[in-house]
Amino acid sequence: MNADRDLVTMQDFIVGRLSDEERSVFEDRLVHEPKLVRELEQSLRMREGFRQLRATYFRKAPSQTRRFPVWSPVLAAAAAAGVALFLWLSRAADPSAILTPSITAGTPPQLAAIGAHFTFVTVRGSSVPDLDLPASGLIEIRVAPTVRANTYRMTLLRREATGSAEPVAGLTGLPLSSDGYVHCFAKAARLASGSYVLRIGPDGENSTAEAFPFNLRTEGGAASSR
Amino acid sequence: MLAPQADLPAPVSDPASYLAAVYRDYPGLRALILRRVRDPELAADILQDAAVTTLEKLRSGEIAYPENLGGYLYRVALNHLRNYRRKDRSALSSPEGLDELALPDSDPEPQSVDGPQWASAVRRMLDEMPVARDREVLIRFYLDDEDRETICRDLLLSEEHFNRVVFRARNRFRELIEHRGFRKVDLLMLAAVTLCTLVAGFK
Repeated sequence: MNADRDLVTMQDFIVGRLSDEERSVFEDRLVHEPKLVRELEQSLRMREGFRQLRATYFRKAPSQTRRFPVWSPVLAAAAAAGVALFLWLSRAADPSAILTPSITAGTPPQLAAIGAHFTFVTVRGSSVPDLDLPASGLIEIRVAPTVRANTYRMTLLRREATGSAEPVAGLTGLPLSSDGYVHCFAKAARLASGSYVLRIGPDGENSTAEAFPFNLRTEGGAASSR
Repeated sequence: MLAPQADLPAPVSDPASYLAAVYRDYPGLRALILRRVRDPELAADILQDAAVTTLEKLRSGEIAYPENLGGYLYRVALNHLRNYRRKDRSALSSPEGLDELALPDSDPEPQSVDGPQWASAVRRMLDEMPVARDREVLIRFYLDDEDRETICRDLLLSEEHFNRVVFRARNRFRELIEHRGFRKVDLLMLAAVTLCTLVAGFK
């Protein structure tokens, strides 16, 4: 059995990428190769495990056909608007009020307690995850950017019922950690339930920023539209 | 021609225990059927029919390699699933995709008994991976259903690297499932996923 080839064939079989003939050959092999059955069984368990995590761990990206935005005049305009927005944000908002790059020494224990962990990873799909907002403490946020850079800028925007998005916090100079994530913390008490977008991109560049929409909801209640 | 008497499998005296063994030993197959038909009762019916058919073939000596009953069960179950879908063809706008075993992303998550445990194992496996690109390989392969060629091309990976990442992940996943080496945070995750599954079931 060619393990490398079977690895791919199994997944092709599961997702329906095999022709009728290939599928028939594969199913015939199943009755002769116990090891192949075990490996297929494991593939199905892993795939199911990933899918079960979809709602709670992975963010769903609107589309996966192109992961990197194409530069165009529209995006150029959006980028310029983004720069303006960020400059405004730097002046108008106190970035440390809600987001902080790390837990600073001297923070009271009751405020430094981690109340939740949010992980944002780009995957295919279309739904917006509902995340539980803890009553107090810090929310550890980690984001896996698809664009490599030395440092990143993160902006948290709150979406209004009208569809507009208002920036509420931002950080710059965030490094990519050795685990492949960009980390920061949010103060739970400074957030309210509602719809948000977390944007992340290389410092000083807007064209490749990624957006992660999510809903925050308080315990026992749904996210409000405000 | 019938196989020599000495090669015939021992008669299965307890079909109920056989069915129980099917449920215990092939939860992946069970999850696949459930995900495909989205109805727990229908999925159970299809699996039970497959188990009964396999059992009958075993008794009649039609199964040449009884030590690989699982392989037969898989083939029979997938045939039953396809038969069901052919009967249900009227619900499809096109027969295209009839044999696809995957569930469209827009469909609600079906409940899988073992799903929360597998989800915890996957999460821990991903958390333990130090390289973000390797995590992306797994996510795109197992969650986004992208093929190896596309993933390797997009991430500038060799097929050898891709295979290495997937093999390591599969081994770690197997260890986590077999040894139940869960941490406290995994148990909390397990509880959360179970709760989400139950809540989704009530909707």
